[in-house]
Amino acid sequence: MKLKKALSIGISAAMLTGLLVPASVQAAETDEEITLSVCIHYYDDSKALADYAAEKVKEKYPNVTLEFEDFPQDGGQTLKTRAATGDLPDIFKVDGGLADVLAKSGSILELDDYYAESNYEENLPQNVIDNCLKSLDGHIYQFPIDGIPPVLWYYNKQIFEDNNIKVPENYDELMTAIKELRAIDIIPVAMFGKEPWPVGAFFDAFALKENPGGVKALSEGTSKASDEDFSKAINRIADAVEAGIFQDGVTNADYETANALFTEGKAAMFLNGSWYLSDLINNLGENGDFLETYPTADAGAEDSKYRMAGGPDTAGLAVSANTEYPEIATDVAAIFASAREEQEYSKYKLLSAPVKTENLEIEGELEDVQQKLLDIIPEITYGSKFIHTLANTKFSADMTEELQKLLVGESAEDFIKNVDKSIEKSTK
Amino acid sequence: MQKMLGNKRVIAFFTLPALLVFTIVVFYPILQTLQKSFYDWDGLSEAIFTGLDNYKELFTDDLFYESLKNGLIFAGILVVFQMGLATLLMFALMNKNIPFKRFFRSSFFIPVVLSVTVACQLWSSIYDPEFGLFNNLFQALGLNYRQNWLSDMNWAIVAVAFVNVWQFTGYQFTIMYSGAKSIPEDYLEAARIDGATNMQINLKILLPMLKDTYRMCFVFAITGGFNAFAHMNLLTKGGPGTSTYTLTYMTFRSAFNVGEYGYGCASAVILVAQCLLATFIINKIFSSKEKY
Amino acid sequence: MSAKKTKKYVLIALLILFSVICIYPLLYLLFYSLKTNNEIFFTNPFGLPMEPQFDNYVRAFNAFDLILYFKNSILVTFASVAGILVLALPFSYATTRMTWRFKNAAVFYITMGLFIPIQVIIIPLAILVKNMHLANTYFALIIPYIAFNMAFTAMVLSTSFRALPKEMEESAFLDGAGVCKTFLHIMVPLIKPAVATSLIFAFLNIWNEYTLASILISKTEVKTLPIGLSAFVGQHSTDWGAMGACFVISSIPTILMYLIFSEQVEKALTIGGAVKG
Repeated sequence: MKLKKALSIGISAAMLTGLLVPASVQAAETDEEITLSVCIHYYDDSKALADYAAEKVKEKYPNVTLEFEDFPQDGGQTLKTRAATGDLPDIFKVDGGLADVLAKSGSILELDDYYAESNYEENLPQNVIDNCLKSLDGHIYQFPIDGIPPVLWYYNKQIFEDNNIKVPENYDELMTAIKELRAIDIIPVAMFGKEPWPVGAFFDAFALKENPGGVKALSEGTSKASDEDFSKAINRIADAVEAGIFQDGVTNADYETANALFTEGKAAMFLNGSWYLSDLINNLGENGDFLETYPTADAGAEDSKYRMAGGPDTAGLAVSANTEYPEIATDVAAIFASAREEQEYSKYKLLSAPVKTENLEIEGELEDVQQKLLDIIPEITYGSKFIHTLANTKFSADMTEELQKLLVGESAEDFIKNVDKSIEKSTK
Repeated sequence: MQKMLGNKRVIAFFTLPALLVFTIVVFYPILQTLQKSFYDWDGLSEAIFTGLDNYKELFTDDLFYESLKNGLIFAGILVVFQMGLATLLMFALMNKNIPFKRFFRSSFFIPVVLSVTVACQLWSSIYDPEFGLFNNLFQALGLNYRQNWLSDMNWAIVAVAFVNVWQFTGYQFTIMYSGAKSIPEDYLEAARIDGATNMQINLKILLPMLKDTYRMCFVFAITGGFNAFAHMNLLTKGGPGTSTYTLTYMTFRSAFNVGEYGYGCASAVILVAQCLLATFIINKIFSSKEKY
Repeated sequence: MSAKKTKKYVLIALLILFSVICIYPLLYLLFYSLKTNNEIFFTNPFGLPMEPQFDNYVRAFNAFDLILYFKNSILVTFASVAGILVLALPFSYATTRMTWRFKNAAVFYITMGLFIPIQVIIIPLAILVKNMHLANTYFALIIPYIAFNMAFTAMVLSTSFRALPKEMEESAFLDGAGVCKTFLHIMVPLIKPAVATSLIFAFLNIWNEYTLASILISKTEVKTLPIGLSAFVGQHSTDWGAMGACFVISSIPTILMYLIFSEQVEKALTIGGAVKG
């Protein structure tokens, strides 16, 4: 009798700690109140998205409450330090670089088994499965969010129409447009050069036309800046800078500044990710549009037409290895990520969201520019990456700094020399 | 007297708690930084011992020299302009004929009271090349002197340093002024009766008597310049390129942007050594003069 | 005589100019917090707001739990400042007025605290805080704040202690007072201005401290004002007016603190003068 009782206590204790029960069953049967911390962008639209996804989680786990922390934009300092002290949030957003570091130190859960058991891949489009899942070590550590956004070259139709300036389609036309815009005191391209990725994307907008690998090829050491193709692109950038393509103080401008210049009609063009599309519609209405191809190639260069900057990263929601409830947290992260992305696609029209779109309806009508993007998405190829997500972090930091210097007037020769030096140092 | 002031137990009681807290919270992490500077380490995973490799790499790294140079420029600007201005203000307010002393003193301190974030927000607007105060002022005056204040590779570091000068002059001034105020009036009065001019009193009496205060101000200005971080972090993010990097900023970059924490530790060790050396030299200079 | 007068007026004019340069940011901040985005950015970055937007303050107050963060900041700051004084006063007394062998070494050792950039030792420090089981408590901030501000405070206090004449202690000892009593009742009151000065500085440093607080604290209940503020800035980066309102609200305690204690400094200065005179 006594033995039996002791045994049953032992078993129920084991059940509680999840030792005997398979993950899925345990997940469903626990009804203790659980709070999980989730660190993700949490403001304006992203707050609404997160709250929506949290509701979806509640449907399966009424006992689970999500507590949100806004994602700190500090280059990973906070999350890395919290990883060092074992104080990571249960679920949090990682980009590729952070995922690699945290995976190496065992701070986040490897999700290969979960993917295999849950068929999570079924939710994802093929290009995301191919490019955004596996980290450097070949394992999966995150549920993708935000997808593969191309960087688009936006422009203000009205400025070009009113002043009778041709919207540029190739490099020569770009240079002409710069001159004509400068003559009427309009900034040709507004740029937020205080952040790394726009500067990198601007480089790729030129480089990809000459070499499909862009800055990624440089970071892997397969190409050099002094190669003929890259050197051509770099000289073109230097010439465009010289001609006054950007606003003054470009390396010190943050997103708000650059966006304000473009929105107020003080700048004619603007480089930003495809996620900016809905803001563009809000800000410029009918006058907002983007160029189907970057105006950076020789006239008539067809095969490089849809090579776009931006591209895949292993970014998404990761689960802390220190979480008290690994199974539940993993499942919650999965539900959360897919619900959030479906909503992001259908309600916020983020056309690059990492979801299978066949069964999803977009709410309301698509604007013309959105339809335009949707039409070309299948054509787009990505050979490069966002500069801050390159695996070669040392090169990425050097390159960003060199690019900033190029943007404020460093000569093309010095730039090429320094970049090649950095390639040599960081890829040996 | 000697016996009272040499009481070992009182000394221990007075100093050990402070030393203990300091050792645990500040010194121990520094030791760990020193240790990790000999490792290849990303901050999280297993560290690999690499001996002096980090230091060897450091001494061939252009960024290291640029950061070092910027630290020196920053410190130099703080010493000359911040301490210089604070000294002049102190002289002015020690002058008996100047009214509204209270008002002046309080107003000088206002920038110190504001957080660095607020100060940098303000200066970003002032320096803004399109809409900023400076460029528009020059334009209004008909001067063709528009500048890209914070995006100029050569001058950005100076522009950033001057924000610090502006913000913390009041701080240095307050220290100097309290020091000057605690000098007994009789000394100054006696000199005045002897017919000394204000400037003579300032230079011959005030400054020598404030030696100890100035030593402290020098240490603040110079070490503050060497490890400047907050202002560039908010104003330029080290840019354009690397033109506003200091050693602290470089350490931060290595540790968190590049994932080379060990390498970052090596530059941090150099930074600490540099500050210790500067403090040591300042102390030496000021104590050697004592003999005369 | 008239040349001297001119000189005086020039001097006063210069001082007023400098005061304006110093006071203007406060006005700028106030104006900023009452403007629309368009004004702040394009039309009127530096002047008076055209139509005061008091709504900015409403949005700032509604955006995050200002009261909670305020309470935490006050608690952490006061506890830290008290701790700093308790440790730094006796330390600087012992290293300036008392005689023992290693006192210069001790001073030099503590001076290191002046120039250790927090960014550099953040990981070892965070691990330390965790191992002491302080993570996510007020002490996770209070103890590092005490340690990091001690160097500065001790330096300011030492300078004042050193300036006092020897006779102060001599007469106290003759009257039969012990070292501790002399220290507490005679010496500390004499350096009140320095105490008030260092107290203001420590208060400002800690009140505005962001890096440590952002990393050592992840629980909302313990977060301090700079963290709340930065979260607000991150989340409403396009709502500049409300951001300005937040800045104004968070600056009020520091300004109050300064006004209260500068009064103390002033008083102490005159009393100190009387004693010595």
